[in-house]
Amino acid sequence: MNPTLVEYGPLAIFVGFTLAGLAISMGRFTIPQISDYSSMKKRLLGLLIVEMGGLLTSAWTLMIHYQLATGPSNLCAAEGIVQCGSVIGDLNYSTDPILGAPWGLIGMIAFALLGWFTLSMFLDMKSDWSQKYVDYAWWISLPSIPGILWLVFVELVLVEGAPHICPYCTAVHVALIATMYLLYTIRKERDMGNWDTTGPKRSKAELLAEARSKKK
Amino acid sequence: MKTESNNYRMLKNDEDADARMLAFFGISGILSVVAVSVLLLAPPADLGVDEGKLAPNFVSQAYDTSWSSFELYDHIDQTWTEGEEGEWVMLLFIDTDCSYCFNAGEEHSDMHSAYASNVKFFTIATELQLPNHDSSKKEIVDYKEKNDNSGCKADRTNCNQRPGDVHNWPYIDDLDRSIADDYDLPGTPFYLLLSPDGIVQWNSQQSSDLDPFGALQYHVGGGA
Repeated sequence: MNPTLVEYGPLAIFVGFTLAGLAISMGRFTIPQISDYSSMKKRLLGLLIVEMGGLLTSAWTLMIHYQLATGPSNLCAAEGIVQCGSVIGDLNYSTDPILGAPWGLIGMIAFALLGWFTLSMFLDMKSDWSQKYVDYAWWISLPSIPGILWLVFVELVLVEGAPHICPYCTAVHVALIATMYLLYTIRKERDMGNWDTTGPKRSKAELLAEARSKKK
Repeated sequence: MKTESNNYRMLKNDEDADARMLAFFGISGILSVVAVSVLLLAPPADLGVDEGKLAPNFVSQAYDTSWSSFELYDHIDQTWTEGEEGEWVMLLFIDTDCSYCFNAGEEHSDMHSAYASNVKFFTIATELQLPNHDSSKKEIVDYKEKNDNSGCKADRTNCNQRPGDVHNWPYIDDLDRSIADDYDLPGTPFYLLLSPDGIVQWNSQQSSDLDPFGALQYHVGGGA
């Protein structure tokens, strides 16, 4: 297979997830299956797509990390300013300083957790906990700000031969920033009273009313 | 008995149905598929110091004629296969204050003289956490070069008294013990013989029936 396609093809797909998620959230793109969704529900769907794109991109960086631990990687360029080898392959900065876990693994877990909050809200916007979960997801995403700043600093200053720009790392950072932006707008809309309370799940009172009407 | 509360349709009819559980299974499923794909497409390396494992990489400063940066994986060839030409790597872990290491200085010189043509030698100078085992980069250089310095062998012997010749191969700084920690250093001296692809072929603690010379002879063949 063409090496350039292997190196940059997945990047285009991952960035596509982020762009598609943002477009759906902002109502710039729709398909018949979601055309009757409320704007809030579309925002949540778009957020979920961005988060799943972030999860996949993080997994790709983890694969590069594992390959670079034993030799060269064919999943990303190793030469030039825009490359992964000097960043993800750096022995000092490719893992978190506390647990020693690869950053890709941390990204996967973080996006999976954010995805769980978002999917829960998306499936049941009517529940009492649903609106609170926006706040939980927002607070959980906040540590990503110093994380991104630190990793960009590492890329530009600390790694051997700096500056380097790791395209897949940057795609993860963009997905995280997009996630935070969408969470911010969803919170703002919710605070303005635009939360969508329609959904498949019905309240106890509704179920009771339906049972009574059937009895009659 | 209700068992279907995780089904999406049940959210419509079951007051106990919880979308969070359904979401948990959904995200767990995605995460599992992605994790399995990662492990299949790019399995993590079997790193370690046991024989048969890939020696962990490390980066530090090395002194040969001056201090410069050093990375172990710059000296191994992952594509090497058995039967091909290639340079083996001998890692010698020492502490400049360790008397056993000090006394082995001549054996190290002899090994290098015999095998330098097809084995790269690297001494990793660490600092054991023992009384009077305070080393320094200067002491590492003086130990290697046999310079005048009274700080060797737990400050009891001058470095210029070390047996053997001046060691003409790189000495790597591990005063912060980072390499020793990664390699689970059992003590000093400690030796690892790596094949050209970085796989540990002999671990002096694991196969103590062989001495360093014997290991070199067994794996690399007769010395020069």
